[in-house]
Amino acid sequence: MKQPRYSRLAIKILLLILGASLLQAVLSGWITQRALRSDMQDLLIEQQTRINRNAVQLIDRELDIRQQFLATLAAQLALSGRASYPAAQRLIDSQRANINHYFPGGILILNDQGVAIGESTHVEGRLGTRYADRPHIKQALSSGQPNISKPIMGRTLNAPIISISAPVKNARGEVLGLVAGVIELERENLFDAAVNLTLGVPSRLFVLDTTHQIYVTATDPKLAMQPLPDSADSPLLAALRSGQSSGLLHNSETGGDDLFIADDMPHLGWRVVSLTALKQITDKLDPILSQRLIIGLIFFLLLALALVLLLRRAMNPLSAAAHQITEMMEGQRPIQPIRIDRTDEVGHLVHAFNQLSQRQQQQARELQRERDLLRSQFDQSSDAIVLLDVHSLQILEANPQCTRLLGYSAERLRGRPFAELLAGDQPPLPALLQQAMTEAGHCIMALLRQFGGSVHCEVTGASVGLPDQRQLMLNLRDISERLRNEQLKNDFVSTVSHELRTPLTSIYGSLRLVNSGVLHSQPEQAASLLQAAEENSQRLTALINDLLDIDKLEAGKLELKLQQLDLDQQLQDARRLLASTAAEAEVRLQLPAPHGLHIMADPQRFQQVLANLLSNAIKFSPPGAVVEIATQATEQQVRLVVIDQGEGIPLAFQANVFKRFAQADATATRQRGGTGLGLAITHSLVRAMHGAIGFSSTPGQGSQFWVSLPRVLPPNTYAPRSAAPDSNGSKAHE
Amino acid sequence: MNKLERIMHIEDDPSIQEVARVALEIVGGFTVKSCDSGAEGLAQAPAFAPQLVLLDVMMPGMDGPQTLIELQKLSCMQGVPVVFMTAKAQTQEVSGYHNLGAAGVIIKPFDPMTLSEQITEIWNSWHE
Repeated sequence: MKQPRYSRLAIKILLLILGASLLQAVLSGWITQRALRSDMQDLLIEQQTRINRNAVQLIDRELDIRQQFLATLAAQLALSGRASYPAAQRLIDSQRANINHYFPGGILILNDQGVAIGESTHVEGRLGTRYADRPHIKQALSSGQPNISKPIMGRTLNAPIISISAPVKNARGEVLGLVAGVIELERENLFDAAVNLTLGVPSRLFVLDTTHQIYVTATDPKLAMQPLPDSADSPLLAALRSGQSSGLLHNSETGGDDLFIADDMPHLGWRVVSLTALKQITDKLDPILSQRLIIGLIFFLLLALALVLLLRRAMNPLSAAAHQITEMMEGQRPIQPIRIDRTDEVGHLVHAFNQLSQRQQQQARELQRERDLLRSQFDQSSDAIVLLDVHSLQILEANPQCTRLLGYSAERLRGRPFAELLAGDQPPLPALLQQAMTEAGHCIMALLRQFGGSVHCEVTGASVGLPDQRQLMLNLRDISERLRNEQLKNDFVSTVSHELRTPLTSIYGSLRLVNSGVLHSQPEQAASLLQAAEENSQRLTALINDLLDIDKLEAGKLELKLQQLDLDQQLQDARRLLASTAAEAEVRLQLPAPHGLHIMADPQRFQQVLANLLSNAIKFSPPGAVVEIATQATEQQVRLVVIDQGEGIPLAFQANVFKRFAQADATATRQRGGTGLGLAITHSLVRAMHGAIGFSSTPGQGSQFWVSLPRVLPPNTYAPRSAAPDSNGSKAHE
Repeated sequence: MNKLERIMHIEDDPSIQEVARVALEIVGGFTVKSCDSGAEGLAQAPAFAPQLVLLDVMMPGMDGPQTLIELQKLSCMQGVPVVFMTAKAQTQEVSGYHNLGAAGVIIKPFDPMTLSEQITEIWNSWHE
């Protein structure tokens, strides 16, 4: 089962996607955290800056309200015309509620000498005390302007205070006295409201009097009136003194950074400073980040789950299909199309597999059909067929006809070296096979039979099978019958020719002797009859010779001795041999002038060709005519033309001139002599000598027969060459 | 070189015997001894002492080639040319006769008017 392979693929995809998303989550978390921290910090700085401003405004407003209130009191006292004890007491009494509200530390009313003439809170010995030595009292009395003192130790309160003074002036602008309010720095914090503005991030606020280098007040009120520490002891003060109005300071206690913001109150020479620990930002940020982490984790798990489900859904049909294919291959289920209801890639793949499988099944069926056909041909062939291994030449298979032919059973033939079947006295098997394997070639083998004797077979071979599994297929055709028939025919031809020639020898010989007159006893009346008998015995001899020649030419048994011949000599020989025939016909033979040409031909057969052509020309020429022989030479050929002045060849007959037993006029055979085989033999002989033959003829004007023969023997041809049927069938025959 | 005078002709066909005899005796002027079979030829040879033997190939009993072999065993036949006279004259047959030791082959049917010339030609080339 190959399923694990596919599972591994799914796991790979899963790991890849999950790994990528995890990396993405971590990266984005980290970037978000950085961005959030930076944003928070910016937000905090902005918020603290605003809070600090608010605190400044708040302090300003608180002081302003109190100044306003004191100014109102001063105005009411001025209406009474002078600053007297009873007037002061009445004023205090009428405004006690407001006084307690704005100045819990109490107010003091002084006359124009700076002597206390009224108080809202009774302090033993304070009335009648002269405060004109206090710089801010002195300044208010002399300038007639309201002011706020620096932090000072209350003389009677014995605590750090600031004093707000409002002068009492009549209509002429003369100073009648002062109304002074006391703010106890340790008890009455001006910044509670400011501190409460920090949105839950606790900050510490300080109000510094930079002129006098003391704390005015702070979130911790005990710092009031305390001197400011040295720069060396306080990084905050060092930063402030160096002119910074905001920044970060390392806090060695918390290990984090502290943010400070400073705003000036120039008319009082104060600075309001807020200090906030940044660690509080991270404390607020961490829950947000961990929340995000949990959400990311949940999202990641959901993604993984979805992926597993999706991949399983995608891979399961694939695995199922692979499972089915495996079962089909192992033969556990029939080969059939796999059903799948999918249109995605899996569906595509399975569909393609189904098509491939169908095509292969179709091919297998076709192959099977062809195989069956070949098998039946193999089994039913009238030829014996054996398959041999191409290397060992052992028999792989033999068809029924082969077992019938040789007598061995197929089982006994199988695995046997084919060479064992060869009867003795034959070339070795590889040589025979090489001959049998050539295209259109064959060889003859004598093969041993199981029960003695041998059978002659004509063997053709072919290489069959796949390239890596070559086999030799040998077709063995039993030619015993054919060989017997050939032998019979040869015997017949031999016997007939002998049996015919023997009586002809006596008849012809006797007639020839009688006609020659050597016996001196020839009756005059018998002479013409004896002459006819002699001529016809000659014709019979010629016919027998021609028939034997035709037989040899057809069987390819004619042996030629091709050699270089002197053409002049050959023509003279021919004229000599035909001299008597020509003389009898009163025809003159005219040879060309000697030219020294040489041809390649068999001397006996060339003479036969010449004799045939010349005797034909003489035979068909009228008395007194000339038969001319002309020659034309090219580099490779010599053309010989026999020209007669006879009656020519009828057009209708011209196509049949070189056919056997063809004569234009059937009676001509008897009238003129001849067997009707002469030109057919001439044609075959010329071709066997690598020549060509043809003619042209105009009825009534004579004929010209030409023969071309090579001046040199062409390479790669070896005599003898057997005559073969015509291929072009025109008047020219090569 | 002696002049050719005595020819022995071994031939089973009496009419061919006769034609050849007339051709050789009357046309050629030779002395001819005709024998009907190889056996007779072998028997007559010592007495006749032929200078040349004309031998038919196909004969009942002992055929031409066999007769040739037997003749060659006779002391009187040493150096005497034997010429086959046959209708069986295909190329390979002719060369077979030569291999047996034949001096020449005359093909049937022969021309009786030129037979003597042919034989004289063979005689001359045999003695060259």
